[in-house]
Amino acid sequence: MAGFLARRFLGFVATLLATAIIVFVALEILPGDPAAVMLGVTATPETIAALRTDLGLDQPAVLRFFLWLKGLATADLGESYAYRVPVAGLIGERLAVTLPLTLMAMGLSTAIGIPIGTYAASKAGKLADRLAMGLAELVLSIPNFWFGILFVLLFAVTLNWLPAGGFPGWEVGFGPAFAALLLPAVALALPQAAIIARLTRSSVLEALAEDWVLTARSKGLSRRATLYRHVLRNALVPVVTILGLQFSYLIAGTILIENVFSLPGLGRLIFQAIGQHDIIVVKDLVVLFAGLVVAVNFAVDLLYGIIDPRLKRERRR
Amino acid sequence: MTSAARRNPALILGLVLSAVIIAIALISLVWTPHDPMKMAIVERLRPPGGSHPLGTDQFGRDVASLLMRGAANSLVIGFIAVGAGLVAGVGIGTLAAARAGTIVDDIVMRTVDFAFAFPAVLTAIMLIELIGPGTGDAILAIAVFNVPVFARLSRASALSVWATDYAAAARVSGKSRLEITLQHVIPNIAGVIVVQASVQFGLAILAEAGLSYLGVGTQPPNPSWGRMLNDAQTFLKVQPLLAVFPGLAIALTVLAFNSLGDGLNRLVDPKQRDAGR
Repeated sequence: MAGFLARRFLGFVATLLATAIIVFVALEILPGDPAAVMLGVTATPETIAALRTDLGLDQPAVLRFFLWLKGLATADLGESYAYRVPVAGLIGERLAVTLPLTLMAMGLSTAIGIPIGTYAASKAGKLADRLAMGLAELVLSIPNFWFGILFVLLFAVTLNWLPAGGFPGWEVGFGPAFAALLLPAVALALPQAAIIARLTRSSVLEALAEDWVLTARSKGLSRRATLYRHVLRNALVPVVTILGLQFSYLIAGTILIENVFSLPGLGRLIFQAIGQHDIIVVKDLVVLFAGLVVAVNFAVDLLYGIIDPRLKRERRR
Repeated sequence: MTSAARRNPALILGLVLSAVIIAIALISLVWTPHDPMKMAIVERLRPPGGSHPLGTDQFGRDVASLLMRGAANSLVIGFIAVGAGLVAGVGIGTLAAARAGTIVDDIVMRTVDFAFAFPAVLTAIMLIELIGPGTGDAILAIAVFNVPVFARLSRASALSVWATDYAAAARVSGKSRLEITLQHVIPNIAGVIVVQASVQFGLAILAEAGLSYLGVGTQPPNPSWGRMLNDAQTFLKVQPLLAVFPGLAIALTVLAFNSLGDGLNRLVDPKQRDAGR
């Protein structure tokens, strides 16, 4: 077990390092002179030279990379060129929107997807199953940002129940802030819920075909009790693994959804930073997003090992 | 035909829908009801009807014509991106399978795992800084996103071909790994790859729409469904239908290729395995 953990952890660190290298090379080395990129076409050689010194760009690239890594490790991410404030503070502020949004979406998608998938499996082949799976197929074909726009059209423009966008901040109270995140979270969650419902259904069906289900039933356990006490627990193992992948989709989804609803989160920040050529912010954010995805997948990997002991020692494909 | 439809409705739905969409895209290259680029401010934001069956947008352009040309753009981007991802991914996957268990396999597959950590949007964002916003970003980002999918799938499928007796016989008869890969492995895994390609094509359409909604993909004045949705948001109160048609176009196209993938999967795999994507 210790060997397994150590190997996985080493792999995790190596992946993070590789991510940082790629982002650094893509955003600081390949574009040529970052100072020139940040200042745009109107820059004079003097202002570019001044900014180069200011950002420490005259130092060798390898040294800059390690300084950046050190900064990442100590949460000292430098100063945003466009906002003139520390990037760490900026990210902290925006995280107060993106994190609750992602978690709400994740909670919603599992809360919708698992019951529907289980129900569909218990009615396999019947009308309810077909309707549920047809609906899932349909939802999967709809882009989450179109859901967002349709929700705005229905709940904000037509019915006037919820805000069409923007975020009042948590300091005005939980209610208004929660209301502002509700539509975006549902838009983000729906396609993921469909994926979870489909996966849960096929996973439950697979478990239902096992011999021990027959044993449990012949011992007199009801269909319901077998389903909830035994089948579901076994069937949820693959569902947990998909949560890691789901997180990656949700993070990518926030970039879109925050723009649909004008939410001041990380996704919107990264887009504004691109428009302003604020390479420092873009670099930190891309690494943060990718790092989050890698970290969650690592956590899911470990969780998988704990849930299903059979897989603990097996080498991953 | 009717019994085939009953046995595999997804395949029929997918075939018909995707054929219609491809036909519309092809027709748009030679004919659209109006010139999709032509602006006519006096006719702006017209509701559907008359010579504009789906109305006009904020510049007075014909929405139906924009949607038709948008279909061509979406399909071309999806086709190139998935095609590139498929070629690269299958190449990598079959190489890893041919060298299974060696350091080559390990390095290749770890790199592929790593590529999974980058959602297409993030790749696209880095690419904008590198090459500026444009269709190239969208194609490259979606292709990069597709490589690991095809690499993993083709490696797993190729491994089972390598385990067969005929692959062993070919080895013994002195064929090189490359020859076996080309003559035995690829023909045998082609079915699975085509099924996946159909599903990935649907996802590519979704991704392209998302990227062009953000202004990263197709640039104006070239019509794109994602961009149309972004524009429509400004006029939600004046002409809400503008936000409906492009979304429907995206959803129908994705549904078409997803159904096609499901239907083909049923043909290839009679167990009707419904794998959660």
